[in-house]
Amino acid sequence: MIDIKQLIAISIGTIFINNFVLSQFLGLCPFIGVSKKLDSVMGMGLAVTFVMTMASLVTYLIYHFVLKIFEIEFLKIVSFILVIAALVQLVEIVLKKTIPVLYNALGIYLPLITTNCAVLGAAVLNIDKEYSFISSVVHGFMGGLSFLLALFLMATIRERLELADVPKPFKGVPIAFISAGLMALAFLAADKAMLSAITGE
Amino acid sequence: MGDIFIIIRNISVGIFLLSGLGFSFGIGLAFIAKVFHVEIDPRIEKIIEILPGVNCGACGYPGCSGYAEALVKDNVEINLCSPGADEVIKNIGDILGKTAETKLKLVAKVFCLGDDTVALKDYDFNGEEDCTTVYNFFQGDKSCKYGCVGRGNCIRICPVNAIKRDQYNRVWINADECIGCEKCVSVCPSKVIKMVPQNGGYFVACSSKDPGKIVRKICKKGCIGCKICEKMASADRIAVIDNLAEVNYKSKIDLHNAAIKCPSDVIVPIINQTSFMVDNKNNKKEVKQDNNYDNKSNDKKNNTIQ
Repeated sequence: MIDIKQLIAISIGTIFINNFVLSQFLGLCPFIGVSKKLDSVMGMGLAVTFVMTMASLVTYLIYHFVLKIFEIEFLKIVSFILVIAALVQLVEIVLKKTIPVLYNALGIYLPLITTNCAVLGAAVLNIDKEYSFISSVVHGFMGGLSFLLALFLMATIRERLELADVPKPFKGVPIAFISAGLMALAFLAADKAMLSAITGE
Repeated sequence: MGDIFIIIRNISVGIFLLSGLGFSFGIGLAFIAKVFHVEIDPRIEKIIEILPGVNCGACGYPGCSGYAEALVKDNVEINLCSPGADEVIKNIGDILGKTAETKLKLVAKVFCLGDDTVALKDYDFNGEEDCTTVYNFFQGDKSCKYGCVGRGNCIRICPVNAIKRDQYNRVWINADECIGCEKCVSVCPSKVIKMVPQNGGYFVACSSKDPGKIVRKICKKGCIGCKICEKMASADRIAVIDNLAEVNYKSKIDLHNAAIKCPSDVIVPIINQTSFMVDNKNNKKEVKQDNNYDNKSNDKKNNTIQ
């Protein structure tokens, strides 16, 4: 039932090789928007991980037990958006009452990532790659961690860029995008073919 | 023919199911919201509105909302907000039904006058223009190891832009604009920013504990510990400890004469410290701002005025 090899392949693959932000270019909006200071990075990264995992879980169930039964798989994107939005709202309401500390830490980020393409992308990729239930959830979780990694690297770089002698037209967002592009090039170095051959993914 | 039926069937099932899903989610969420409703004391909202909203943390609580919650839930003192001052204390008092006195207004001042024209430099620094970074290399690039590093970390962190810097890397704080949040105090790596009472009159703008002989060599505006100020005012008001003069703010003796007679001109007014000259009208103690000083770091790297 639980294919450990596939899970490990998914984990390493999603974080380093198919990094959601730097290789698949999903979730760029919060990536640029929230990476100015290092403090907000942890909150945002954990919020995205949380939402992605739950979204992968729920959308898997919706796809296989509602859409497939009624043969309307073509509605997957619309229904996923609906489900994810409702889910995040539910989580925010419940969190506010049950764990106020957690709500204070990452509550403000939850509305930002409700219909983020990274979250939707994780859900749709699960279906496209025909993952099992456990694999889908793990894929969602690792996707969130990959986002956190990229965000962390970006924030540390941007804090130093603040103090560097950047030419005036490039200050702020432009130099951030250039840095992100260079980071994406660096992540290309992870050899997909080699790792695929080892793990058989 | 059969195709049309399939299309119609798909469309109708799709519409039916999605609207059903949306509808049930809506009802579900409304129900959950009612069940998990969190009661917020309306006074907290009102207090958050009248607080300055700077989120400086001077009160000791995490931001203005933190202080508002503590006020309503834990019943703490209402005079802890230093940017707010009298008006905020009065307004909070009206809401909560309490009164309190204003706490003594403290402002931050930079205890160093050593800019590029008066202070000797040990080495040229060509890295990040960040105070902590420069301070990590032998406590700054000036020969005086007690001095202001001049890269402006305090300027960047001040929420009201009360700290200024000019092209000679002179850094000073405008006491009228300072709200007393103490963010600059914590961010300064050489700890030359300290709090003084706003109505304290004068302060000694130097932090150097080096003996006078050494100070004379490395900085034109350093306290040499000559004790002339002690004689002009009184040892109760201003005393030289460890080669550095310090003002005692509990005493109220006037320091004007001491300021004029100070041979290094380091006793400067707390309010209106826009220039470093002590009272031009009265006295001849004019400081020459010339670049002929034998300064090892003479390339002006176009430090932007913050």
